[in-house]
Amino acid sequence: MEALIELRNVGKWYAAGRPVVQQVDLAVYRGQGLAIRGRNGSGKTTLLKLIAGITRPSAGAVRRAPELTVGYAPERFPPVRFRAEEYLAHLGRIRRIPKPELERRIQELMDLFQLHAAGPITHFSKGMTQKVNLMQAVLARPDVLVLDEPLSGLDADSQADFARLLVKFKQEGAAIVMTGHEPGFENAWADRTVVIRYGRLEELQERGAGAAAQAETSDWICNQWGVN
Amino acid sequence: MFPRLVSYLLAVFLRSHRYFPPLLVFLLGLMLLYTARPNPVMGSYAASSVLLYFVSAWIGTGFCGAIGEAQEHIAAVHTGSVRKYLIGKTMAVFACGLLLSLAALIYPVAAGSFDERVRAGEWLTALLAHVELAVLGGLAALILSQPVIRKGSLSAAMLLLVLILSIARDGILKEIGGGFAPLFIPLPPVAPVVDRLINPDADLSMQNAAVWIWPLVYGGVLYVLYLRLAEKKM
Repeated sequence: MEALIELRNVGKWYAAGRPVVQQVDLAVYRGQGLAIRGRNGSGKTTLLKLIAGITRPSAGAVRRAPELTVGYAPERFPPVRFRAEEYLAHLGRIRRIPKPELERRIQELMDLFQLHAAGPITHFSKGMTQKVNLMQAVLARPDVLVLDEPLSGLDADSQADFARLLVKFKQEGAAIVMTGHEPGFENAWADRTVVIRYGRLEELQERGAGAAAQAETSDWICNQWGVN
Repeated sequence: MFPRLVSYLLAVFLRSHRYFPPLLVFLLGLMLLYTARPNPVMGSYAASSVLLYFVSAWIGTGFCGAIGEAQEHIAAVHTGSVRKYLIGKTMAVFACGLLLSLAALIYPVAAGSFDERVRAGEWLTALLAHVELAVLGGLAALILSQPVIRKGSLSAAMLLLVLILSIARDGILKEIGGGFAPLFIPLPPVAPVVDRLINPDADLSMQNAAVWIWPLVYGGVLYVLYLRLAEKKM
């Protein structure tokens, strides 16, 4: 399997505090879903930032495949004074997505997430804001999708839609790295689960092909959440 | 990519309305400066460059507050690297400084506030001084804001101290003695530039050239330091 991102003996600490992440060896493979579990404050978010390339390791090395594209959705998405389409258009232009393709993609995502509100994001509910957060992460169809507790505020239908989208992403060869506290949702897309405790990876759970194959069936996802 | 990133960051800043207080202070300051007429050319430009130094720092702080940490992370990921994002952010702050520099130079000429016609040499000197001070003010704000310094109150206090000490350097040294001058070397070299605007005919030697070159060198070093620190702290 092709490793898109590799963390070798990675550590991260801020100022003189204790290490937030330490001695982490981890690889993110193409087409694989990696779930990261852990208690609050265990270092999940910092590990995601290291994987996404937002933060640099204090020790060790992070190797990335050439020309790798990453999508990232933080746990907390501070609303900006843009309409959702405007915001996505700005980010798409930064990514150099051609205008017709960008417009088509934004429309596709607006339909998928059923977000047709006209006002600025600052007027959105928590769930709607979270949808914009997820839309910006998947906008450019990245090779690696890094999501920090993405279900926060989403209703059951939207969770099911999002699970379908993740499975489709994996089928197209993208890697997904996600933190969360919903084992049911995790079963739908994750092939591997790692547990982080006090900044160290302690357990590694490899799922059988059965679980991943099951997840590829959208019926299964609908049943999981009891939605149509 | 940089024009699109800068345009996005400027849009975020404008939509946040954080531009309003510094812009208002800048415009009111300019109007107040040129209320009485006529005014000496270089003396007035010295005053407006000091005003711009403070306002650029305020704008730099406003940029960091307007976008916020999580949106910075998102923009950095879309840009492709944290360093490219930080360069784009600096360019956006500099763009505001350049725009205000031009406004500070053009306004008194357009309003006919000077006691004599502005010569090309004077105008270019004033332009260089305004741009240098705008860049130094913006950089000082960026390096003393998040992600480098996350605590808002500490960041604001340090920035204010740096701005005041760098402007009042010569006055303070007169009081405490020139032997303390090395203590002021880490601060932005603003006072010599302002002094040269007030006394343009004082010296035309190599020292004069150093007054204009040193802020550029200092700015370059500060810029590299900012990129390294901000990348490390993100």
